[in-house]
Amino acid sequence: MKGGAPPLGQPLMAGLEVIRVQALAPATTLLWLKAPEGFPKPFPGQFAKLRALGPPQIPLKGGRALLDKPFSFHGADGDSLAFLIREVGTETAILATLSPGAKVRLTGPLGAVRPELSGKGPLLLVAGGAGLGPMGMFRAQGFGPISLLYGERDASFQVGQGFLRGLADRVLPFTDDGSGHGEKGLVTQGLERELKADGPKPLVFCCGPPGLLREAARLCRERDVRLYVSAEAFMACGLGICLSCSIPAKGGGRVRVCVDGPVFPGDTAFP
Amino acid sequence: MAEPDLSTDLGFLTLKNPVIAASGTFGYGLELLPFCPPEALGAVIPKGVSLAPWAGNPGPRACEASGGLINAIGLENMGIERFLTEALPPLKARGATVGVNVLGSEPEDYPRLAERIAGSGADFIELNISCPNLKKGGLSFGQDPNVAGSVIRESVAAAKGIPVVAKLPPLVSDMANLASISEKSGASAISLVNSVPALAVDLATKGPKLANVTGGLSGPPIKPLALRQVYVASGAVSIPVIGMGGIFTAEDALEFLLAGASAVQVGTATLADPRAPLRIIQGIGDYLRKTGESLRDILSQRLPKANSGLCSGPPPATKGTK
Repeated sequence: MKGGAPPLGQPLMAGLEVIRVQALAPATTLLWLKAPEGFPKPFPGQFAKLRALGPPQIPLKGGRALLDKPFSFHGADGDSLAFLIREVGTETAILATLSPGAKVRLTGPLGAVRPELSGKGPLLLVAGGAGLGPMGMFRAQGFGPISLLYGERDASFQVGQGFLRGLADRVLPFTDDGSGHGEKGLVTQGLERELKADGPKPLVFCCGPPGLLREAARLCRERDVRLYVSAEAFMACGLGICLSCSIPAKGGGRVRVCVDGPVFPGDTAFP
Repeated sequence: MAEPDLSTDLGFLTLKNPVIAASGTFGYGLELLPFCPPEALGAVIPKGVSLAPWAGNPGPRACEASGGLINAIGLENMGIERFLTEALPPLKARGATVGVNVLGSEPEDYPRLAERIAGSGADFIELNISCPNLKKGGLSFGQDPNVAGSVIRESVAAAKGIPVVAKLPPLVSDMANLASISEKSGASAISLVNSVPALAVDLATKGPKLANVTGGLSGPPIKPLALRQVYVASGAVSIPVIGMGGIFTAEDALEFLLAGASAVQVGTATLADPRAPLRIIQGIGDYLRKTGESLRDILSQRLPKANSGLCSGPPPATKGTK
């Protein structure tokens, strides 16, 4: 690559230093990387591909993955970039065991810029499991108040309340089996209740498994509430070339989760 | 030391370097501009196009397996008309050498596509008669040498002078024969191998990992298989062979050139690292500077002829030993 900073929003590829690693739950880690100079400011919902460089610090059952894996930006404060890592396979397990000073290859920021995800007024964040990933990006966007509905299967996956309170003004955690802090039940039950409440209609942003996104879309459509969802699909390149993550768009045609999304208006695209 | 000359002569076309971006892994050619400008490569082959736009397969469309990638994208594409008006002109305007990969659901589609491309400014046509996601009766067109021969013959006639490259499948009963038939049918070159039919099973769901159930395996696991097929095919024809299959490094590319290829295609590596084609070009130059060879020296070297069979048979009886 030629010298000089890339134009605004242009993704770059670089080896970045790990500056902090924070365990949030047994399988969830917050990874802070040192931002390279001139790194474009990521927007909520944008993501980066990450790959731990150097020899892994854990025994591997098989080989390393072929492809760098995509993670939503959880935070970006100029000097550092944060990602929420949920351990689901070899590469996420390696990332979770890195120590400060280790190097991570980053390609980003990737994904479409959604100006709709900054603005005034109430914001309702709905996170299912690893869908908590992008929820740290909204504090700086001007919204208020921000409420966070956060669902997990059980207490063993749940992130602590102290951390969650940093993300929103009001936090409503759920576990499917009631074993964790907060309520027993599905996060969509909370969403339904919130949407029925009096007061100004919030903007809703939802990230999580496909079933959650579909149910959120149904609930928001019923009450005519604006919804944005962060879709997920296996992506090989993350750059719009392989079409692995191409999904049908409502009303015809197709969209690529990696470059046309991953954030879509809730009524136009579903994973 | 002077910059090594990386150009390679395909007879119908001279490439500035032997690295071509493989179809399906370089978008329509401009998506990777921040990482890999198309004009820096020997050539680019954008996403394959059909007569009408195709929607492709439902998801999941791809997964990793055993160090490789299995895909069943299903050849989603914008169709030849949009391609010729929207995608090809900006690539040519940048000075890129462009091969147009075409695919059909019927053998008759290929000459119609070739006819449409004649006069478009494309540098060559690549006939995809080998995609595991493109099948008639369970076989890709290229697996039946008779169908392959007639598709190539009719496409060459319809292309009105634009060179036609036949992209061949990896799994055929007789690669030398298919390569030879491609040459006799008028192909200016052959490119191989396309991805290898493959399956990934999800133990958690006890089902297939891909919605299409099967797909095509690419990446490092297929490299030795691809090298063997390039070696066999290049021994059977006098037209150039363009090798591909798991090329991730300059060393991989050089191995394909030694096995008989005149140029290589880089595919899955670009998905893993969008700078891969440039890295490989750079690495070939570095290698040649180190060894003091020219690319021509590499291309003029050939591996020894192999045994005709895969098994060498029992060892010959020896005399005079106890």
